[in-house]
Amino acid sequence: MRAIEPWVGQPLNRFVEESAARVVLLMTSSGQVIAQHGFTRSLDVMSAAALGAGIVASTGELGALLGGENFGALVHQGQDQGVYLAPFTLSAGPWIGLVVYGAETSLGLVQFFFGQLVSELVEATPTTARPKAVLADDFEDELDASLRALFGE
Amino acid sequence: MADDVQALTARLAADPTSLAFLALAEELRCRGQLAAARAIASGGVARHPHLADGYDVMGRILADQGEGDLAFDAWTTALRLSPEHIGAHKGLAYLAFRSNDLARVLRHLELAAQHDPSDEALVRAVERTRAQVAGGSPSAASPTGTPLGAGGPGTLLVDKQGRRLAGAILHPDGSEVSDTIAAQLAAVAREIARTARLLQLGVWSNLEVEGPDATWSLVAPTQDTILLAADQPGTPPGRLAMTAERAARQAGQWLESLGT
Amino acid sequence: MTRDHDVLEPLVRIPGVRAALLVAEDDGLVVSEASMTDVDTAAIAALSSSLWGKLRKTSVASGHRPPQLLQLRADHGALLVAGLERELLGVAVTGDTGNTGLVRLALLALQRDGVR
Repeated sequence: MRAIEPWVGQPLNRFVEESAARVVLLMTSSGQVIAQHGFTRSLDVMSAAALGAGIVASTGELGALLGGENFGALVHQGQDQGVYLAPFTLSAGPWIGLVVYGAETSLGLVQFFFGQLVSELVEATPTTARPKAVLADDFEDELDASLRALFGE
Repeated sequence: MADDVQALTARLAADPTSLAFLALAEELRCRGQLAAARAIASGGVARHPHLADGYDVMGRILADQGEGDLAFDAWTTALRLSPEHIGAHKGLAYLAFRSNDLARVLRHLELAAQHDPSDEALVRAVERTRAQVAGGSPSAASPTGTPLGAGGPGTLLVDKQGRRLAGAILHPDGSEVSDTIAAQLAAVAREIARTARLLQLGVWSNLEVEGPDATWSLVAPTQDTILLAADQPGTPPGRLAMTAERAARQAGQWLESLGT
Repeated sequence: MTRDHDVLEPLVRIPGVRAALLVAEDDGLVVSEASMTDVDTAAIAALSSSLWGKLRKTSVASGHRPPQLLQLRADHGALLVAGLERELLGVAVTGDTGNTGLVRLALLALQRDGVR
């Protein structure tokens, strides 16, 4: 597990241990990666974050189009593994969790312990944490620094 | 002496958190008022769950009441809290003596004497017991031969790392599957503890499983072990649970004799 | 009220039962629920199906068919789980005064008679 924000580490470790999730990605709603577990290549993280944020954004738009319904988590269940994608809100701003899980656990466990993770993150969020600009001037530098932190390169 | 009881009762009434419960429970025990002594000790232990002396006095009361298994639990708890507790070692030596297990008597007396070499009576007791053990008394035989004797046709004791400690489980085709089951039981034990904790059920005592081919009962003899007792399908789960609990007590004593 | 919910009625009528659920065995999600108190039924579903799955695996590894019923007893209550048809589990949680004998019989009846 690697996290850019240190206060995310402990709750995320606990979630990974309890839920037995294979891959976890925490990001802001703009796709900026905060923490990851289970990814081995930075390219995969970037793609997953972009796609995850895109799916949540488009689902939100779809909900608005259909009368303002605010959809919760999305689940894609495959043959060998499932994907759980859930938006949530911290004082630092709107975040998204993307969890890939296999047959060694269940959607129920992932969902239950994800709820606990969100509660713990709400508790742990420093009061000084502020949402960052979606596209800051130094976005590319920031992205590069984040990926180095996430993969220890 | 009646004054002592009155004074101690008054002290405890004035301050229920006072450690006066220790002396009061012991005084009542010495007078043979065991039910009252037990009530006082229970209240004290509930208020001071990390006080080894509380479990020690509770062990003495329970032993006097003939509740050997509960006394054993109380004294082993005292030793977990305070490994050098002389009273608990003496108590466990007494229980071992009652079950004619001189090897364990000697072990506990020696440990007690190590911590209090000035106790002459204790030192003499160690010497006497040592002589009897050296004399080859049959009662000095190792208690570790059949730790799970009461466990029925299939009994398996495993540690929390999933390693088999004792017993065996056979596949219906006759092959031994103990190590496979041991590994899986460790995961089951973690899941049981997690489920009980998160559903706020408290400390779990027993898990009974009924199936078309077997009935199982799972108990935890110690914090670090789990015991599976298996029997034929249709065995009343309550009966198997009692069997498992007996086997767990034996396993607990066996583990304790190994110093674990 | 669905018919799935109806099948839970005999369970929640038993004194001491805090919640009764039908749970999807694989997913650990609530299919139907009837709770008497403010309990986290999603947690019950997720944890009971996980425990059931681990015991099922252990049972199969020992050469036996999957279990039919489990009872977890603890200081403050008990959890009972029974395998039902359609890959469902019947689950009940009781308080420490709950009559687990009656709950066991009700779950076995559900197992025998089916949920429809």
